[in-house]
Amino acid sequence: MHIMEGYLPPMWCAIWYILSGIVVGYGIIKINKLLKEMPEVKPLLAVAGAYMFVLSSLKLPSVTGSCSHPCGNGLSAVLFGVAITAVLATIVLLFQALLLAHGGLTTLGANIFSMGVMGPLAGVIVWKLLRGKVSSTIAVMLAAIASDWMTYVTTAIQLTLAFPGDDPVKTLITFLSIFAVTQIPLAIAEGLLTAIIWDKIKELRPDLLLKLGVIDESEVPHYTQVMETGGAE
Amino acid sequence: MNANIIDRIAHNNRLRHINPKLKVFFALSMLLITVFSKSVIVPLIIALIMIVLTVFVAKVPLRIYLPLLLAPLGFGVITVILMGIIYSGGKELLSIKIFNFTISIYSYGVNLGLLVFSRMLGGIACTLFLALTTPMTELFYILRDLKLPSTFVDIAMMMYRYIFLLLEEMIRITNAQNTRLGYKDLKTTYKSLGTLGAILFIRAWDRGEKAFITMSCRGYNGDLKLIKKIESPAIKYILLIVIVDILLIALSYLTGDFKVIT
Repeated sequence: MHIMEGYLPPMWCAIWYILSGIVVGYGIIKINKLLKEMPEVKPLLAVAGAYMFVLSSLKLPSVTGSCSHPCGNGLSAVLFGVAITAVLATIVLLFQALLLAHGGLTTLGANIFSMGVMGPLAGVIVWKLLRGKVSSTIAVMLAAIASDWMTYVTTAIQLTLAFPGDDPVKTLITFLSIFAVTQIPLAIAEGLLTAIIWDKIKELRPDLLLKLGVIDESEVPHYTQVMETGGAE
Repeated sequence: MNANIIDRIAHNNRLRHINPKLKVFFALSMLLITVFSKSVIVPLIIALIMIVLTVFVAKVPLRIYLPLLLAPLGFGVITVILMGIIYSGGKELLSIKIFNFTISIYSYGVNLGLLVFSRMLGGIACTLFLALTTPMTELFYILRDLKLPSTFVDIAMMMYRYIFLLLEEMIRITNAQNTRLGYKDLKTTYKSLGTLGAILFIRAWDRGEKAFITMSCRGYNGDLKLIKKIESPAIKYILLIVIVDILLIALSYLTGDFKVIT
């Protein structure tokens, strides 16, 4: 969920803009470096971002009967890393503000920070910790759950910081109980969906994942090893 | 699809041929005044100006405009109620006893909630004005003129193109899955959504690689070149907007102490 236009006071708009600006700037430098070796990075990142946008327009049914949409930031973080995800999330959020009227321009910085920086960071940490220990599908599922959930925790903290009230701790607990607790089933739903998507990509086009260097060759034996099927020589 | 509707209107409205730089300057200055204002009056005036401009001058159909405006505002109403409950201070306006809990609503919280609500209304009206009257393609030229990194603008431009292609593909796949009872219960829904997501990713990636090959054929070396430039608007219009801005800023200082509930 995005923080709505006009919700944050000007000071916090500026602070979140600066904080996410640093990460996005670093991401752009990183892309520029990649671009020198591989000029195909630009169109590929563009389609990846478009994919994130389209994924976020899917309606995801959840256990409680409510509907949510996947953020897609966990998958992107696993595939491209935090800094590049932050750049993609910036453009996606800009389009969401201008094409779907979700989120806003003044709150763009805050939304980038929760969806493009903190969420992917949590996802990448989980992914790095679990990599090699469990199968990549389970690692991706947990990374997606972590990044989705972290996004909402960050949103709750941002809302508290904007309007702390008399007792910031009490306010934080209220916002956390609204966002973080109701988000748990939705995060699990996103994790499941990401796992199914991941499994399907691994089955159909493992070469994409191998090229991005996110899975090991040993995980897709049907693709990398020659099957002994016999037949005429 | 919402994205399609807004994009179509942005290309076909009565304010389409006004200089885009002027529209961006106007909308962003109003947005900033809205966020900085300390009372409910100025944001409400700005919201009124923006709604009148979008609906009556740009002729955006009401049946499209109202859902876009009201959906976020529903969230805003909930915020006002929550803020009234969460933030204590000032006079106690109302207290409800439910079993052993007493829920009280205080004037400080209600005032804060109304201020935030009015800012949201003003802000959303400003963004909608920009979104519904200015096509994204023209915004890219402005972003480039603002000296944003060309990597960022190029990726954004290509992404804008692919969003609509992928959306179309998504709708086609969803229809195909629907006709085969792909969404009949929760389990099949997840399976279908997962397949949809994976196929879309693979198709998107293939499209990206194809696009690179096509671009290479035309001499692409990592940088996109644009020839068209957007000219600067006439000074008199800029002055007019600045005068309106100054008037609104002055008004927001004069009404700074205004409270809805004292």
